[in-house]
Amino acid sequence: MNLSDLFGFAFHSLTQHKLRSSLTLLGVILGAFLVIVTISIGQGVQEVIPRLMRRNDQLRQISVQPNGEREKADFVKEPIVGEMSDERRVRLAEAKKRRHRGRAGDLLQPITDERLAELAAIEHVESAIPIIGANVELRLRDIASTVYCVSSTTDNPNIARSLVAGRSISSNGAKEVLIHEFVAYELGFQNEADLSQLLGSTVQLEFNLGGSYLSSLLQSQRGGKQKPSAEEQQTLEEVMRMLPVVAQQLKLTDNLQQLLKKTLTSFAENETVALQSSKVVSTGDLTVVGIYRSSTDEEHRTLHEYFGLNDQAQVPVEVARELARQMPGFDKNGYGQVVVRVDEERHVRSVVEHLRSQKYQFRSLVEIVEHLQREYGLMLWSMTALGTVALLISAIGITNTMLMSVLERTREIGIMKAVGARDGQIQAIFLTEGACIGLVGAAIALVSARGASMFANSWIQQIVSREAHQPVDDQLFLFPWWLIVGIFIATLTVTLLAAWIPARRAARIPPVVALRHD
Amino acid sequence: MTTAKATTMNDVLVHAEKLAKVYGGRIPVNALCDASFTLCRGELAALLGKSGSGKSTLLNLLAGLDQPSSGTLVVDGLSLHSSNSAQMAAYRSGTIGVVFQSYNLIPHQTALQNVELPLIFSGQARGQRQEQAAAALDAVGLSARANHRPTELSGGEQQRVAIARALINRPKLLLADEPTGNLDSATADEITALLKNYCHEHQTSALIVTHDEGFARRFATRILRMSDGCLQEDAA
Repeated sequence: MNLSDLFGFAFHSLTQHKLRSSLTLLGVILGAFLVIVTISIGQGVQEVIPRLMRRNDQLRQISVQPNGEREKADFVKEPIVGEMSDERRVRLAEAKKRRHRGRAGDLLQPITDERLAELAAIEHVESAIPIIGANVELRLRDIASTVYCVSSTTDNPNIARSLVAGRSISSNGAKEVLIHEFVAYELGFQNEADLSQLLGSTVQLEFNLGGSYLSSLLQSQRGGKQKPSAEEQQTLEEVMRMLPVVAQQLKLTDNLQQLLKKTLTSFAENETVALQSSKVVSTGDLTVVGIYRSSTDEEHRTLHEYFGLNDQAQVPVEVARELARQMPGFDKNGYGQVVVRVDEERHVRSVVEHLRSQKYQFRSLVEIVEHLQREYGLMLWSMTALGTVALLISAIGITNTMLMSVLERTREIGIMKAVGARDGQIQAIFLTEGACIGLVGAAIALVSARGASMFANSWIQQIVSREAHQPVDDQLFLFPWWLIVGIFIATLTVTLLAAWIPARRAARIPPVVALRHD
Repeated sequence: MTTAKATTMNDVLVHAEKLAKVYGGRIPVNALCDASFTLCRGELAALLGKSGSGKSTLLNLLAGLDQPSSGTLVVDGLSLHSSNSAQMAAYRSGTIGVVFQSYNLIPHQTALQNVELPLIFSGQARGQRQEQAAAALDAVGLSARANHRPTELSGGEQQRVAIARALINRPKLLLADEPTGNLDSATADEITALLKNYCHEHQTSALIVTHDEGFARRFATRILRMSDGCLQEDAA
């Protein structure tokens, strides 16, 4: 008895009761369909998440902040006093730390140039670029404007698309600057045609150390464009010295008089010190090579445009570093943020582990992706479990149907045994019926799932495209080879198990009993 | 109980000694009591008896469809009383052919497929067994009805199909349970002639169970009688 004979018997038997066989098959199809669709979309989502993140090469980037424990201010270090249990003392100390977290006196171990070099030397790290940002004065000839300036690199993909005039920076150490179109407007380049005149101009970025509060106030009142002249600063200094004397002439109570005098005296003294130590840090001459616009709302909505381009000036990273090094407290504070780029995505995890061991604070999209994948994976595996339950329920249906079939075909089984069929052959006939239901069910479920997924994919793409205002062509349903093979194996296993009991029962019927059955 | 003619051990196909069958239940029934007989190769015997006398029980034991409660039953050297399921299946497939009163054809299979059935279980290749089945149907005069299902055949035709199926393995022992019981006399005569000719041609032994004494005498050279589970033989 060969395989074709077995399938022939199974086919004859299943086609004898078309409705019953179809309903049994339907149960298997629904169960397998549910399993396929959930695993398929699970695979799709697992692939889509990193693919979306990968668009801007962000999966290879790790944002690193200064490492180590914060050095707490003295008032945090002060012990908790009073009679209490050790547990409560610990709880209160923790609560005190939490309350003062981030306040003055908290210092992290800074990322200095040495530490930056250490980061760049980590295995698989391609580069470690600091992110530097500061409010500076942009000076074009005799016009000045306060702008927020950030460091930029030549491989920043957002800049090229956002340029309205000129080009991107040529190298990370070039003496060049990119200016936001609104800053250009403030500098007097109001007509669109004028923008080309700004290109090639020389500007300076200056940072005023220890400037007077009153002079900053005056500059701010002028819209930030015009700095007080030396004469004006001298006058303001004079005013500050006179203020305590003028205050004495006011008709105030003794307490108020004393308080005002104390405040003005200390304020005037501080202003004087500030004026005496005033110093300007400058980038030197920078050539304006490009003018850019802000990111649009639509660009912001997409994940890979998350960081936007709203800063008002961008300089090559080495220029920014040079400026930062001249800032007071750089030795103590270092760089606020460094972007570490890893050579390949698969090495990000090892670099992350290294950073963690060095107690750096960091943010990696890979970790976010993994977290999202875990979340979606859990949800989708739960759905797959439901599909499996549906498949198992259909298996109970198969067992029931086949037990009925064995009962109906008892006489036929007797005839087969009377003409020489062995118990194993009878068992094989019924197991083949189960296998046929499983294989046909899996095949139909697979084809249906593929068809449904094509429809659903196109529908979801339309919705996402409408929401994201950009074309989306990602496949949300994936059918890897192992899913196709796996669903056949799983369905076959379930249906064979379901057919096992009826098949055994059929095989064990004594022939003489079977032949007497009506 | 032996035949009158002296026989050697090599001539004996069936040897039964003190064969008994008790059907269990609330009240046990002794269907067969200490039946002893031998059947030689090429010998044709008829088993007569009333309904419920134990004829079919003895036939089922000989057909390997049931096991005796006690006694020994050896057919063609195989001890049926102590054989396992696989040995019994091989015995049914290769040594005997059985014709039932109610034909016992599989209704959803054609005449050809029904005849082919024993060869499927004995593992013959499709082409070879289809040829053999067609030849067997031709031998019983039914080649024109090969693709008809049992419901499309008359009683006589169905019995011919059953005979073709019983003989397709060239059995050493043909067992038939009331093979003409459901047929008219003309058809019964045809079936009788068919079976007798085959047994003579192929030196096949046969035991036919019947309650028709006329048929028994036309067919068999030995007459065995069953009464209340006890076996007797007419004098030669």
